[in-house]
Amino acid sequence: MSHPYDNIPSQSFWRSGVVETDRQSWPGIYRPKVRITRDTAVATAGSCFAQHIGNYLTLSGVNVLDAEPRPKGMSEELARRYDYGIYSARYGNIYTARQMRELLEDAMAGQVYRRLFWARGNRWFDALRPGVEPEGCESREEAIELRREHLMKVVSLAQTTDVFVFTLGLTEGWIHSGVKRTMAMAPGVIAGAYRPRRHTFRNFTYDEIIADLAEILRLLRILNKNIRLLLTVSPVPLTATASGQHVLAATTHSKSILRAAAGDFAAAHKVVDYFPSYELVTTWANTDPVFAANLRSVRPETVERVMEVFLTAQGLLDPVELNAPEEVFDQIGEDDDVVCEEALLEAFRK
Amino acid sequence: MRRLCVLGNSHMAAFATAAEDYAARWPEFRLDMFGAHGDVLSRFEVRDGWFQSDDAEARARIEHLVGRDSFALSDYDGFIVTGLQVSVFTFVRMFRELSSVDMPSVEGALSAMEDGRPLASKAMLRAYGAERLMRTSGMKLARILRAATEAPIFVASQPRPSGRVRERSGAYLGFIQLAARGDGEFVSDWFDREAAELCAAQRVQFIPQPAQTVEQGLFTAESFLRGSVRLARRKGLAHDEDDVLHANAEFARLMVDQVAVAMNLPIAA
Repeated sequence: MSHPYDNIPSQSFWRSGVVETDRQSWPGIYRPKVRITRDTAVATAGSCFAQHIGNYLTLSGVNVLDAEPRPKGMSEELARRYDYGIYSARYGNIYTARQMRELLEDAMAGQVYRRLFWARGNRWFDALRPGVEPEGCESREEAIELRREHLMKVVSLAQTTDVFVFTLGLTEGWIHSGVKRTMAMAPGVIAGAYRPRRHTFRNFTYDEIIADLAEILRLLRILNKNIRLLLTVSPVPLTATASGQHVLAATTHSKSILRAAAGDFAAAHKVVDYFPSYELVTTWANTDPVFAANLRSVRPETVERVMEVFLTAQGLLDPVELNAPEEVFDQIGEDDDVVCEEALLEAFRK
Repeated sequence: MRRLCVLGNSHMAAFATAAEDYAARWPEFRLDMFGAHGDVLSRFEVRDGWFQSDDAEARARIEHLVGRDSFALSDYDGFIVTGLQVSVFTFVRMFRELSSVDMPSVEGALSAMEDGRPLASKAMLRAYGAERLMRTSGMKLARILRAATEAPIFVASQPRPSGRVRERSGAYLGFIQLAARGDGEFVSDWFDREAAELCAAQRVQFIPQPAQTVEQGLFTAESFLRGSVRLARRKGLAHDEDDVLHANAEFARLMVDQVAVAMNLPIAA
C-alpha cells in the first residue's frame, strides 16, 4: 500500500534529516532559488544578523554593493562608528519590514519629515537611523540634508542591485503617529523623548508583514525590474519587549511570525528566496552552545557554520574562502562585533 | 639665554635662515635645528631622555645636515615641530572627497551629489580629519616629545602652497577645485581650528600660518615664498623657481614671533 511519504527525500524525515544527518553542513536544507555568483551585485539590509551575511559574501568575493562607502583612508574603527560598511548603505539596522517599506517609499518620493529628527542637548539625530551619527548633527538642517542624500543613495543602490538581501528582525516597532513612520527604535533610547500620544507601539501581524514584503518587492521592482529578494530571519532574540508579554514569549511570537511570513512570501514569488539561517541557529538539534553568554549574540563559530551552509549551497565556498571567515573575527573580535542599536535597550534594563 | 629646538623636514630651512637673519630680534632665546628631508625624523625616539635613533642611515642624514645625530631633551626650553605634513593639504584631501552643508559651494544634498563630494556631518568630518592629522609625522613627533618632556611644544603649520599651483593640476587639483568653488576660506579655517583643538588635546600648541601670509585661504602669498632656501648643508641654496611649497625666512620669522609671544619672551623692535 502506498502513501504520500513513500517517495519523499531523506531530509523530509526528522530522523534522517536531523538526527542522523551531518549537522555541520545540513545537506538539503537550502536549495537556492535566487542564485548568487561572484558577479551578482548584492545589497544587504535588515536586522543585526544581516551584517554577517554581507561580511561573508564579501569575503567570498561576491560583489556586495556599498552605496555610501567609507571615505578613503578612514580607519576601519572610525568607519564602523559612523556606520560605514555595515550594510550596503548607511541606513543602520532596519528591524521591521515596515521600516524597509517606508524607507523605499521615502527614497522614491524624496520625502524627508522634519518632525523625525530628534534633539539631544544641542545635537540632532535622524529618528529613522539614529545610530549612524553617534554624536548627532550640529543642526536639524544638517541632519535633514544628510537624510536627503541618504535617500538618493538608497534609490541608486536599488537600481544597481541584482539580489537584495533583507533580514527580518522584529515585529515590534514604534510609530510616529503624526507622520506615520516607523522609527528605528523607541524615542528616548538614543535621543528624543517618549510621548505616549505621539509615539505608539505596534506589534506587526503576519498579514501586515506579508503586505509590507509585497510592497517592498513592488517598490524594488519599480526601481529595478530584474531585482530579486533573499529573505532571512534574524535568530537574535528581542532585547526587550513592549508587548506586555514575557520577553521569551514575545521573542517566540515575533520570530514565529517573521519566519512564517518570510517562508510564505518566498514560496509565493519566483523572485524571492528564503535562507533558513534562523532555523540553523535556533534548532534544538544544536549540541554545542550557539549563543554567547548573554544568550542573544550568536557565537562567531555558529555564524561561520551557518554561512558555510549558505555559501556551499550557492557554490561560493571554495578552499580559498574556507579560511576567510576567521579573519572577520580576528579583526572584529568577540561576539558583539555586530552593530545593534536595539542592544542599547539593555541599558534601561530593570 | 633660552634654547629652543626646531625639528622638521625641508620646511625647517626657513627657520634655520630666520634664526640667523633675525637672531637679534629674539634676544632671550636662540634656535637650534634638528631635522632632515622626508620622514627621517619618524625613525627617532626618546630614550633615556635623549632624542635618538637606532637607524644608522637616519642618524647619518641628520648629522650631515645639522652636525649631530641626537640631543638631550633637557638641553632645551621648548620645541618647535615644523613641516612634517601638518598642513592644510590634509583637509584639502578630505574636502575634495566629502563636503559639509556649511561650505559656500554646497546648497544641499543634491549639489553635493552632483559635485561628486557626498555630504558628511561635521562631527564625522572632525573625527576623520583628526584621525588623518594624527597620522602625520609632525603630530606623531609632537606626541613623542610630549610624552617625554613638560617643556612647551609648538606645532607650526606647514605653509600653504603658492597660488601658482592653479596653473598645475595633479597633486594640486583639490586646491584648484576648492578655490574655484569658493571653499578656500572654509577649508583654511577648518584646518586652523581643528589643528589648534587637536594640538591642545595633546597638550601642545598649534602655530597657525599668519593671516597676512595667506591668500584665498588656501595659498601663501608669493612674497612669503620668494627666496626660500633648501634644507642643505650649504647655506642659502635657493629652491628652483618653480617651487610652490616652501616659505622663506620672513614667513618663519612670523612663526617664531608667535612662539615668542606664547612663551612670553621679548621681541626686539
